[in-house]
Amino acid sequence: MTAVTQEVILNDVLKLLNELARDWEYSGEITPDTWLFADLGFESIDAVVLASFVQEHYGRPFPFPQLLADIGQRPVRDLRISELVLFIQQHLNGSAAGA
Amino acid sequence: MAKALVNGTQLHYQTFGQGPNIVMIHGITGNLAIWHLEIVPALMSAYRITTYDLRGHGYSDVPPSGYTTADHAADLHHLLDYLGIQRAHVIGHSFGADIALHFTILFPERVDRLVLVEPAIAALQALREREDWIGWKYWRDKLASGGLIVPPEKWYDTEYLVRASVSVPMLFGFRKGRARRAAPLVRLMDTTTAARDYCELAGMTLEAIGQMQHQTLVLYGEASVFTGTYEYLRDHLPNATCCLMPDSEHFGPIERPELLLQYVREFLRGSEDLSHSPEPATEASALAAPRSPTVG
Repeated sequence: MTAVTQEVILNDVLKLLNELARDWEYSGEITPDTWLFADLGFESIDAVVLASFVQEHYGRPFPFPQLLADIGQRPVRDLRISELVLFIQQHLNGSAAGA
Repeated sequence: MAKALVNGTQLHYQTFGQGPNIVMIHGITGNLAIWHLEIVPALMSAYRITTYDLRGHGYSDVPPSGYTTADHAADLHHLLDYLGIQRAHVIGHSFGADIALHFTILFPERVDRLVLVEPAIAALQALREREDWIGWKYWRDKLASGGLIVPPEKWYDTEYLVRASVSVPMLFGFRKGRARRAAPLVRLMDTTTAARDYCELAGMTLEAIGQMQHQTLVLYGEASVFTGTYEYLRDHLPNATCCLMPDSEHFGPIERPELLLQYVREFLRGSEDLSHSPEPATEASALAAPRSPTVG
């Protein structure tokens, strides 16, 4: 199986964010450094829905409950786009299979 | 995104896990995320869980009317039909618990066990109309901590306070302490009957509540302002196990998720043990143990 690159996943994520788009308070460019909660104004429900979008798009489950639990333990309870991309890549390419 | 067209309204829902069905109902001005931070991940290995956004909330449509507990119960009835769920355990929080209760009264055959976390019960509004009800000050203080000072002429105005609550920072979740995205909730309050319907009895009388036969778990926070409602249900709801959760006010699913899960797991396990028994059972001892000694 061909490994999916971060660039491809980033493009997928940006498209999914556009689908999700509703009353965003953020008008800047979305980059890998953009924070989902602090910059995009995500609320918890948006993370739940984005997770379901990602799973529908790739046709497989990802351990999002664990990712959200992990974020909840951080000093900064937030997630950069680049971290989301990395999370997806790790699980798509099997390096974290069974995690 | 999964949506079901029910009663002419698109409702956003999510399903996780495998096993006996559980449906979870959030409260007014909330959304399904309240279940997803702690409760869904902990139960999805043993149950098939459905959460959904009530009409007017989250990613569901925002019709102009139809926000009483009876209307929401009808929505849930159609949603279960749409999903092919004949019977489910139903768990509701706050106004979602009022909906869960009304749903059980209207469609008893669709409910296995019922879990009510902090219902207010419109029929018990009289308990909260007195100006010395502790909830009024609690509510004002919450708004003040978010920077909104309630003028004295609005101190006892439920509809005003519900509307005002959308402007204070988030109390929980990843945006805790930050401003909430208020526009959708302002739209809900300004363009629909939701705030007014919240106060409607809609047929859920105390008589109907007193005739309930379902095994029911009733949970309130020890520091809840709805302890009067708790005491009423403890004394009048048949087949109910009533517990107060320490270190909890109104938001048990996120204030004390581990304790709420302990209660719920044990309560639902009782249903599985009795799945072939026609008689209601005495609750297991561990459920009774955490009951607050202060309420007898």
